[in-house]
Amino acid sequence: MPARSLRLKPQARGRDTRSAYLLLLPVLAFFLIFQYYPILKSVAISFFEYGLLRRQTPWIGLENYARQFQDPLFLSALGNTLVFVAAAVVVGVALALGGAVLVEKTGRWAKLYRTLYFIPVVTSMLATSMIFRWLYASNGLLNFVLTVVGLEPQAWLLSEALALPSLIALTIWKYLGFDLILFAAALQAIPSDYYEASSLDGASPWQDFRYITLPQLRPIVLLVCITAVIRSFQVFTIVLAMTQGGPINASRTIVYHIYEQGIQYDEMGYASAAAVILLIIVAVMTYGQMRLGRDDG
Amino acid sequence: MNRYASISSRALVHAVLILGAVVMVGPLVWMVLTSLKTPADAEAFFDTPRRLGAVLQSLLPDPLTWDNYRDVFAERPMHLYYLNSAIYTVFRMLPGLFFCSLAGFVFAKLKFPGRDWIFGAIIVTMMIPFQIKMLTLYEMMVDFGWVDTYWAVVVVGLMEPFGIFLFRQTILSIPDDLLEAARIDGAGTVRVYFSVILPLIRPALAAYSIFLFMWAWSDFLWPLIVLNTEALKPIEVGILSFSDINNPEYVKMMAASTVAVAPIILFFLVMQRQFIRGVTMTGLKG
Repeated sequence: MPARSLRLKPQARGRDTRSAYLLLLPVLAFFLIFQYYPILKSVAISFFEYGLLRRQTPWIGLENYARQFQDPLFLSALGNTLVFVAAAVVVGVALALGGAVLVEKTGRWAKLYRTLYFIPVVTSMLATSMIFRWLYASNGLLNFVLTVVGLEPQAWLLSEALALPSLIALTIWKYLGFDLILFAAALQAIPSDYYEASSLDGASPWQDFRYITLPQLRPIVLLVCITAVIRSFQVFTIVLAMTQGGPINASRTIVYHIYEQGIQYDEMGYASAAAVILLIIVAVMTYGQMRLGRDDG
Repeated sequence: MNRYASISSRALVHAVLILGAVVMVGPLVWMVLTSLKTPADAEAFFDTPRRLGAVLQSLLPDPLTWDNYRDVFAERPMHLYYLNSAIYTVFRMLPGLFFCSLAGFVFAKLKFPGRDWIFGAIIVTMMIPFQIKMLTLYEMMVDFGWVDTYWAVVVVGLMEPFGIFLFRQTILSIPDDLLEAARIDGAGTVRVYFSVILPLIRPALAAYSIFLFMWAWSDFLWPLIVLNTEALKPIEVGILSFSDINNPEYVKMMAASTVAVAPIILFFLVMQRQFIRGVTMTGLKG
């Protein structure tokens, strides 16, 4: 929506322009230096064989990009990241939505539940990874619970099949409360006469959810999905602190790949190509979701 | 739906939610309990007989020990980590609040050529993951000589496009008449910002500070890259040294995590209403 300006006398207009640019100067300088310059430079060096210690290097065209798709490290990172994002977003958003509907049914207890579910959100990611390493340990609490109900203990982070799902579960735990709070606020905004009218028509709770709640929540579901996708693509801390991409690259992610190649091996050009690929995927996914959100409305 | 069905369905709702709450809070309780155990006591938990009484008993530390906390503070400069976290948070927050709200005001209430283009160019960076620019930004820090200094963490994290967006949206809803009245009284643009806008956007300022606080306190990747000296690290990076992949000492890890998260969780519990309002306000606008 376009901003309305102060209705001013014509000669005040010039003064308006001058003070606007003057006041924006620090902000513009900041965005040019610390946002646009590094972003554009990343794109630029992705076409060079570039490193911090070897900056005068030849243009190699798309070679950094071609190499990614022959590099098993990148390919496993890409595959794992896509699985991670899909599972964390779909399961996470569904649980948060279901949780919010239940929480808002509890009346005066809702506040307590919202608070409890939000605690993991403020718990820092690194502390969370340390806590979950202990939960997932061979003699940890999770295996203890499994044996109590008669199941086999698992190797979790040390298992190729379970390492990535273990990280996904942690991520859902961490962000559930955040998404739930947003859904809960949107639920409170739905006028209660909608439900009163539907209960007069004898609608079931499921019909209420399907035909009133869900359509009303559409914009917020879209918003939560978009932020969850962007956030999930950036998964890094838990990989570094819990698995370092292992076992055998089973939990390697794109950002971990960028960090390892760029910072640890000084392959900045190569790592930047991976970063640009990440940017393209995130942009396409965001755009796609916005289109989806608009179209079948 | 009859009365009994409705009571039992309410009980079911609570049962599900209580189970969920145990899953959400349980790991943190487990962290604190473990941090107070001896290594042998912590490792022995798994061999507890699977009987309710025995399990409940071995959940609790026996003997209860503070040694892990003593070790954690003795091995690493935890007090400096804390201090650094506080410094980074405050010095990113205060200028951030000022510049973002000022820019939000300019974009919402002043008319000048190129306004919508500039605003769009700033907002679009909100969608770009930080990792895209992290390598070149690191190179810039090397060239500035800012690696391993406070500057690298504070300056780079100074302004978030999201903040500008949030304040613009908030200030748009302030009626122009209020500003005009101030202008007729002779107030210039800067005066209007300080005396009319700032007092009116206090809820947004509070919401955004809480958001920034959560963000800045648990910032990890960037400080990890640009800081090497122990004495400059924030707590989130500092405790990484307790997280040895090959040789984990769980009791110490739990003590370090407890030290790292206790302040922010306590702060949240005290200010929970503001936190949750802040998140919904910032989240719904974003």
